[in-house]
Amino acid sequence: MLRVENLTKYFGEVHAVDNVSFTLEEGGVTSVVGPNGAGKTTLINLISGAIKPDAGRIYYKGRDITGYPPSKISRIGIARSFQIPHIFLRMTVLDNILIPLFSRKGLSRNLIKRATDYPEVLKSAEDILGSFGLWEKRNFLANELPHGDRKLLDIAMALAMEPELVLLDEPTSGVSIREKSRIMEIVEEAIRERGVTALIVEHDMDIVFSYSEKIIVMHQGKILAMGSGEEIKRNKEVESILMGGEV
Amino acid sequence: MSNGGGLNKIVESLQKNQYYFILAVIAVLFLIPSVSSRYYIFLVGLALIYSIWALGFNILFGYTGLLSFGHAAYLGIGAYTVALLMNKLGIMSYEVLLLASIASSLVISMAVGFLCVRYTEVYFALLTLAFGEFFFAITYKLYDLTGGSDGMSVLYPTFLGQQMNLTSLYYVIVIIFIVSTYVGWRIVNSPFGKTLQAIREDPVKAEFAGIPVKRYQWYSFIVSGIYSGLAGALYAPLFAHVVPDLFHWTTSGEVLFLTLIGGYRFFLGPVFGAVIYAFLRSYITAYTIYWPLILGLSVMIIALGFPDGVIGSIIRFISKRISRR
Repeated sequence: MLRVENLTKYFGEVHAVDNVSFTLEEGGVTSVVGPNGAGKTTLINLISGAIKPDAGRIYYKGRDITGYPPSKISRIGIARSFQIPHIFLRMTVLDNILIPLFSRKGLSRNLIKRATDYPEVLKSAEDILGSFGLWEKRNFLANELPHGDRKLLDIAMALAMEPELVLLDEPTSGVSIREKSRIMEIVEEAIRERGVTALIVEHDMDIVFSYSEKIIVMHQGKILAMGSGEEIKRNKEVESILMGGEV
Repeated sequence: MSNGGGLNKIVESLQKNQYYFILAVIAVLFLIPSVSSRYYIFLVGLALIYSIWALGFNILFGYTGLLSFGHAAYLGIGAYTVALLMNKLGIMSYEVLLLASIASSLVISMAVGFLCVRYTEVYFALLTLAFGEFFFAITYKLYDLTGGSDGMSVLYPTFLGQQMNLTSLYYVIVIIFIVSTYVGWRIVNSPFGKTLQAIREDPVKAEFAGIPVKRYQWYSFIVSGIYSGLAGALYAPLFAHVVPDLFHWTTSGEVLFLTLIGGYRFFLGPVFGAVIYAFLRSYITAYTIYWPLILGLSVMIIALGFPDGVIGSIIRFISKRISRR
């Protein structure tokens, strides 16, 4: 589904992503882990088009998408969420979810009908917000939501783009341990229900081992190891880096 | 654009009676020529023209989050299109003049907007200012065509084959104001309008929601430019004269000023701001030549004490009172 070849991004002297190559097969959850500064978020930013690589190519379903703008990448089937939730704060929860839905269905340019006059879009909004436990809060302004719900809304907005691949940047950062499990259970169910492939950047190793079929370990911009949870657990080099207090 | 407990009650109450309220306002507007002097017909007509201009400006400013310092340019283009076609080509049909003004402001705002939206924040504002001053200089210098600093006189045109006067022009202004307000309301509540608001809130997220942000900012610029051009086409025969000052940055400041007075976060805020501004300016200038000083002080007070403008502040005040009960 996704093929990354020799992807490289420098920020001055820092090799944020250094000659990274990997392939992502369709289905399931793959996690990217590593200490701070390993290049995980930069990798997500490169794939999603937020920044352009200095070298290397990105192929999605055989199509070279290197250098595509984020709006185009999200429309061809790769959506993303953010470590710090990006939501439209002074708009209602419902409006927040309608924006990507209109965009996905090619209705954003319509300036005749009211946004609430699209029953099929409202039904999709109800489905997505319902599966994230946010339908009851649809008339709240987004800035009235607690942090955990903001994270959920950010992810729900990504899924509203009806992607085949979703990139989730630290979906549980900044929330309590109890909240983490709630968020991951909701997200996992929503992803699996829709048959979406997920690439998740995550710091919490318990969550990584619980929800991932495959794990990519990054260190200093390079891929250190790749494999199933058991394989990663057995890797001594990974253990020394991940358990060395750097995660 | 806002919500909240008490505010919801006000909005609900207004929504229940909204059609009566709207009909009452329309009735008052149509009755004005029968019950008031020519001066008040002129003044209300001017307030409505400012309203159309400000509604358009606020689609770009309040709804898309782009501050243009050169929006007088499109008002001027609309007004000068009327003046030039009337004086140079002898076209007196207001239907043709209105359509020509819409077309000219559409073309110019497409070209200028295409360049300006490539830049963000202060650079966008400065570029719009520069274009505004460019049109001011052109109009000022091309004496043979535009009359330079003397400007050009504009007669009452004909409408549906009939010679217009102040009263008939006023009715045309009222009708165009009603249509513009309705269209504006539909726009801001449409998927397009919601998309503009999303861009205002978080352009990065909007881009990741599949929205080509620059393109939609350009669309917004064009819609805003057309509203301004239309306002200009109404302005020219009402004032019977056009001058290069119409393009000047101080005129651009006026639309920002009246939008801030009314409240840019509310759809009708600019309309209320326009009415307040037109009447305030009229009365203040009758008493003192220092009206810009008073207007400047008003902006300072509003910016510091009432950032939601008059409408926003009133709604919030009532909202708080209701919430306390």
